[in-house]
Amino acid sequence: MKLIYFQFFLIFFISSICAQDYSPLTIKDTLKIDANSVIRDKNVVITIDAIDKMSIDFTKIITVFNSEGLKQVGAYVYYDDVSKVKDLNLYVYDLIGEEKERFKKRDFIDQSAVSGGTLYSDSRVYHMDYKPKSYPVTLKFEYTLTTSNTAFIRPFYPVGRYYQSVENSSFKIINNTSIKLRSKNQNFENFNIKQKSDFHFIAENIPAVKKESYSPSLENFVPSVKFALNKFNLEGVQGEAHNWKEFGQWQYENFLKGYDELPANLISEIENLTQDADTNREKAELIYQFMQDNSRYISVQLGIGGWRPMPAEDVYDKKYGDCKALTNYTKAMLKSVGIESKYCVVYAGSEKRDIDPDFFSMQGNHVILKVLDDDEDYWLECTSQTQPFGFLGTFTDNRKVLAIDENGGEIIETPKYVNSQNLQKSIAQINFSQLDMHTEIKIESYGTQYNRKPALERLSPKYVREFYKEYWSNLNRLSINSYHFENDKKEIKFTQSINLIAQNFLQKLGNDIILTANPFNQNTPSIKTYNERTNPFQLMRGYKDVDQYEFLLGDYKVGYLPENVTIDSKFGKYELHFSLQDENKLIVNRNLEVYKNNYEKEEYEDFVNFLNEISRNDQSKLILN
Amino acid sequence: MKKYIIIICLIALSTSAYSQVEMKEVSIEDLTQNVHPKDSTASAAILFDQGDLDFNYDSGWNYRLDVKTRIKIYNQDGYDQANIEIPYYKGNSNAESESISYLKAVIYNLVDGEIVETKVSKKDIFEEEINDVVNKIKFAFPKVEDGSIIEYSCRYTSPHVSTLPTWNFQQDIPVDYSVINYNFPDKFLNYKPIIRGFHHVYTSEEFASGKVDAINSETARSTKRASFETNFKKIVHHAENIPKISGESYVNNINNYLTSVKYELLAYRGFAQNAKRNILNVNWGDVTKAIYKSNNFGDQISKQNYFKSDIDKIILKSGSDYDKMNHIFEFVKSKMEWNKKNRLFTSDKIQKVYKEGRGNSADINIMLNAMLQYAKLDAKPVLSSTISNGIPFSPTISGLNYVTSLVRIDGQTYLLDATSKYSKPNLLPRRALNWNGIIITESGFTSEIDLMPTKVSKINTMLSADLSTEGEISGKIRRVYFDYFALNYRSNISKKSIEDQTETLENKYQNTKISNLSNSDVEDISKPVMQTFDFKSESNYVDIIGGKLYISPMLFLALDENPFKTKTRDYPIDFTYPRESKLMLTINIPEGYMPDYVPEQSVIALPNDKGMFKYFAAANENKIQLSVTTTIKANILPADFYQSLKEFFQTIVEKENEKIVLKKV
Repeated sequence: MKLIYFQFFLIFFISSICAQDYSPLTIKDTLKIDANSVIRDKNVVITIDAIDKMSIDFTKIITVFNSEGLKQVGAYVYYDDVSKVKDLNLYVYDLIGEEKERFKKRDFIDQSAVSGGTLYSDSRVYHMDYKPKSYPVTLKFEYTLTTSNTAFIRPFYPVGRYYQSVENSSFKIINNTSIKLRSKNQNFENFNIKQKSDFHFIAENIPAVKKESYSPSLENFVPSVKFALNKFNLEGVQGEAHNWKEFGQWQYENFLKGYDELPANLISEIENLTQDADTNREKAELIYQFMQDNSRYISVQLGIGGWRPMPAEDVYDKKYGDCKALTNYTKAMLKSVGIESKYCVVYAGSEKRDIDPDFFSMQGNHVILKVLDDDEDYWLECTSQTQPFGFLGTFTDNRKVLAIDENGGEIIETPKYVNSQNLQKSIAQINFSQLDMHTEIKIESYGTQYNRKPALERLSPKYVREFYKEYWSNLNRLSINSYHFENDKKEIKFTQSINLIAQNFLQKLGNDIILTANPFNQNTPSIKTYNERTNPFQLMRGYKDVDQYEFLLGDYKVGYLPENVTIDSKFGKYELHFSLQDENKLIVNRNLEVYKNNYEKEEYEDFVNFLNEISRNDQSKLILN
Repeated sequence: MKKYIIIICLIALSTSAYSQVEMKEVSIEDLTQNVHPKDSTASAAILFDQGDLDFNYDSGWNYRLDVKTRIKIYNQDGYDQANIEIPYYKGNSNAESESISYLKAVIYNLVDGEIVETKVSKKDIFEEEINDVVNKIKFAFPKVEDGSIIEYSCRYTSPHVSTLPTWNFQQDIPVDYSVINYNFPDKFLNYKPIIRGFHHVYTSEEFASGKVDAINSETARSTKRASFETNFKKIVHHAENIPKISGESYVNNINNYLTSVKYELLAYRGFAQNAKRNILNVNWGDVTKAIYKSNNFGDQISKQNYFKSDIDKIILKSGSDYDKMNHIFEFVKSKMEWNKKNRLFTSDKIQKVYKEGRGNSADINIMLNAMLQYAKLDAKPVLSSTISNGIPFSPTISGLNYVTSLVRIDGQTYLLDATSKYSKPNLLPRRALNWNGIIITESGFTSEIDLMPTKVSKINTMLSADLSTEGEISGKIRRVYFDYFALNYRSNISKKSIEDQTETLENKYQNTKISNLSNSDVEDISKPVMQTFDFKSESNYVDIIGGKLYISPMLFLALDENPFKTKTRDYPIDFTYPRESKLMLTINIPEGYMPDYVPEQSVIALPNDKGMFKYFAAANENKIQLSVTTTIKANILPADFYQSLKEFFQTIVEKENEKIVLKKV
C-alpha cells in the first residue's frame, strides 16, 4: 500500500542574525542534555500577497555536536513546478563563531524528489551534504521559497525532532490579503511558547526530547500551530470554504465530479459479474475482487494530479492507478450497480493520526473507500491486490478521516481492532523421541495479527523455512518437515499448519531432563528500561495470544511440575496453567492479553515489570525422568 | 593467495557452433504458460534478452547498444517487472553525454483466445532528472495481468568506449535465454572480455567485413554522413536457463559472483594509413604505467612544495625510519578528513585539498605516499578495489578505485591508509580489505600484495560474578579488543556517549542492567581498547526448578543462534579477518549450594585447522569456572567448507547454552 503526494509532511524550519552570537560556547547547559544539536535561532516569515502568491523566508542557525546531530541539520528545501527557490545559502561557523565556509545555490545538489513507490512526479529538492571536520560546528541555512499554492501553509513545529533542543524559534505570517487566515494551537502546555500576535509565535529554551519506547508519536505531544486560508489556490484551482462540509464540496466539484464515468463495456461486464449476487455486500465483494485482479498500484503525480484522480475510464484501460485513482474507480463500479460509497482522505501509517475535525485544511496522505450498506458499512483499501474485503489493517484503522461526496465533506471514523480482536490461537501436539521434539502445530491469526501473515504465502519455501528458524530462534536444530497455509479472506483468518522437529529440545543435565513448557511463543516484546521515564506511553491496539500445548510424554515421567501462574494487571492478563491429564499427557495453556490504553510515565516501571514477569514465566521448565 | 575466490569461467573457446536463437513472435503458448518450467516459485522470467553492440564514428568513436527484452509475468508479485527505469549518464557536456533513443514498449495479452498488443504511449513515458549528470527514463506498462508478456527495446548511444557496459546474464528473476552480439571494428578498436559467474556462457567468434557509419571522421573528410568499409570481429556470448540470484549472508559483494560479461578497450588505432596501434592495458604493468602518467596520480606524488615545511619539522624530531613513518602517518590522519569518497585519482588541486584538510581517499593516501618518499622512506602506492567495488579480475583501470601506501623498513612491510583515524600500519579499514593490491613504481614495475589480513584479531573477556540463591547474578566484565575488533570499537562504539553505549548493551543483553561502563585507551591506538562494566540480572540466566539452580553460565555472552541457516551454499564465506574470542569466567556459588552437574569439556576443529572451539567447565564447592575459546583462522572460507562450518557453529551454540546445575548441600 502506498501513500499519495505529500510534500507537506516534512517539517521545515527558519532567521537573519549574524552568527557571531552563536558560538557553541554560549549554549546553556539545560539545552545540551540529550541534544545532538541545538536550534540557536530559527526564523520563518511567511508573506501572503495574493490568493496565488506566497513567499517563505527561512533562516535557521543550528549548532551541531556530533555526527548524529548532523543528520538533524535538514539543509534541504523541496520545490516543484509552481514554486521557486532563491537566496539559498549555507554558512559554516567555527567554535568562536567565525565564518569558515559558505555555499551558494549552485553548490547545492538539485535532485529529483520522486519518492519510492511513485513512478513520476514534479517534486524536486535542493540539498547539501555538508561534512564538518570537527564538532561542535554552527551552520546557518537560509532560503526564500515562492509558490502559487496557498492551499497548504506549513505549520509552526518548533520541536520537530527528538534529541534536538531549541534556543529560539520564531514563526510569523504576514497576510497582505483580505482573505481570512485561521490557526489552531496544540500542546502549548509544558512548553515555553509565546504568542506575540495572532500569527506570530516564539519558542524559547526548549530542552531536547528523548525518544522512549512505547511513546506516542512526537507530534502528539509537542507544540504545533496549524494555519489555513479560507480562500486558496491549488495548482491553479481556486477554492473557498468555511468548514469541512464546504471544503469537501470544493474537492468534490473540482477533483471527483465527472471523473467516475465508465465505458459501456465495463458497465455490462460489471452487470454480468454481479447478476447472480443476492445482496449488495456480495456484489461489492465481487467488484472489489475484480478491481484487485485487474489493476496494480502505479503512481504518477503531476501538478493537480497530486489531488485529482486519474479518470476511472483510464484506470480501466491501463489497469493501473494510485490510491486516488483506484479508489475512485472502485467507487464508480459500485455506483454502476447502485451501491453508494464515500471517497475518504486519511493519514495512513501504523501510527494512528487523525484528520483534525476542528481545523479544515488540506490534510491526509492516502485515500480509502467506505461502502454504505443497509445493515453495516465496510471499508476498502483499494491499493492492495491481496487485502481481504472489508479489512483495513493497521495502515488506516481507528482514526478520523475526511469523507467526500456530492453533499460535501464530513469527518468520520474508521473501524478499530482492539485487544482480543487481535487474536492468535495456537494448538500443538508434541511428542518426543529421545531428546528430539516432534510437533504438529496450527496457528490461527485474526485482526492486526492477521495483518502481516498473508505475506508468508508468497514466500518461496527456502524463505519460509528461514522465517521459522528466525521466528522460533529459541529452538536450535529446528527443521520444518512440512507446512501449509490457508488464507481465509471471508473470515479474515490466516492459518499456519506446521510439522516440525526440534532436535535436542530436551536438555539432559546429569540425571535430569529439562523440558521448556512454552516452546512456541517466546515472542513477548523485550522492553527498554529508563532511569527516569520522561514521556507518557501507549499500547496502541492491544492483542491476545491463546496457546495450548499437548505434550505426550511417552516413557518420560514428570518429576517436577511448576505452579500455575496468573498475572492480572491493568496492562493485561497472563496465565500459564499446567495440567497432567494422565501419567504421560501434559497440557500447558498459556493465555496473554495486552490491553490497548494510554498510560502516564509513572506507570512505566510497572509495565516493565509486567513484561519481564511474563518473559520469565515463559521460560518455565519441568523436570522429567 | 586465495585462488578459490575467483570464479572465472575462462572463455570457453570450445566455440560452440554458432547456435544463436532468434527472438520469435509471441505465441499463444507463451501467453498461456502459467508457471515457469524450471522454477515454479518465479513470479516473472526473462524469456529473451538480447543486446547488439556496434560502433559508429562522430568526431570520435561511440558505441551503440540495441537492447530488446521480453519478460513473462506469472503473477501479481511479478507486476513490478512491468515498471521500467532506464538510467543514463548525461554528464556535464555534449561530448560525454549518453542518450537513449528508439524506445519502444509493447505488452501482449490473451483476450478471448486472441493475442492483443498494446503499445505504451509516448505521453506515459517520463524522463526524470535524477541529478545534474544522470537522467532516468521511466514508464509503467498498462494492462498488466497474470500471464502478460512485456517487451521493450531501445538504443543506448555512448562515447565511453573504453569500458563497455556489463551484460548481466543473471538477474533477480530466471533468464531463459540471453545473448549479446558484439561487432568490433577490429582494425581500430581492440577489446578484451571479462566473463565471470557460475553458469556456462557460450561464445562464438567470426570475422566479417562491413560498414561503419561516420561523421566528421578523417576518412570521410566531411561533416556529411558517410560510411566506410572495414573488417569486424563478431563475438556472440549467450547463456541459457540461468536461475535467479539468491541472496546469502556473509558474502562481501554479490556482484563478484553473478554471471556476466564485460569488455574493456585494449588498443586503438587512428585512421591514417600508417597510424600506430596504441596498446592500453595488457597487464598490471601497463595499467600502472598509465595511472602513473596521469596528472592526478604520478604528478601528485612528485609534488612536495606544499607540505615541505610541515614535514621537515616532523623529520627533525624523528629518530629511526619507523619513527618517521609513524609520525608522518599520524600527522596526515590528524590533518586530513576523509570525505567518504573512494578514489584512485586525486582531486585537481592537491595543495588546496591539503589546505582545506578534506579530501578523497586518493588525495589523502597519495599525499601520504609523497610525504613518506620525501622523508626518504621506501614508500610505494598500492592500487586496489574496495569491497563495494568488487574484485578486479583482470588488469584494468576501471576495476580499481582505491590507493594505499606500502612502506618497507628493514625488511618489514607496512601498509598504511590514513583515511581512518583509528587505522594503524597493517590495519586497514574494512572497506580496503578486498583481495590483492598492486604495488607500483614509477618505472612500471609491479607486484601484488595480499590485502586480506592474516593476523588473528582478538577479544579477551574476563567475567566474575556472584550468584544469589534467588537466581540473581551480578558481576564485572573486562573486555580487551585487539586489532580489527579495536578498530571497529574505536570507529563505531566509542564515539557514542556512555549512556548510549549502556543503552545499546542493555538492548543487546536483554533484561540485564549495565552500570559503570568505561572505555580506556580509545585514543591511544598503540594499545588495545579496554571496556569494563558492571552488570546485574535478576533471574534471566538462572532457572530455579524443584529446589535446584540451573545456570546458563555464559550469560549474555552465549551465541544463541547459528548464523548459518540455509541448507547449502554457493558462495564463499567471508569473515574478512581471522578472529579469536576468549572468555575466562568465574561465578561464585552461594552458601548452601554445591555443584550437581557440570557440562563435559569439548574441543572441536574445522578441517585444515581453519578453526577451533574449546570449552572447559569446572566447579568446586565455591566456584564455577569456565574457559571458552572460539577461533576462526581464515579470512575467507570456500563454499565447500559450508557444511563443516554450519556444524561447527551448531556445536558452539549448543555448548555455550549448556547449563550447570547446583543443588542444596
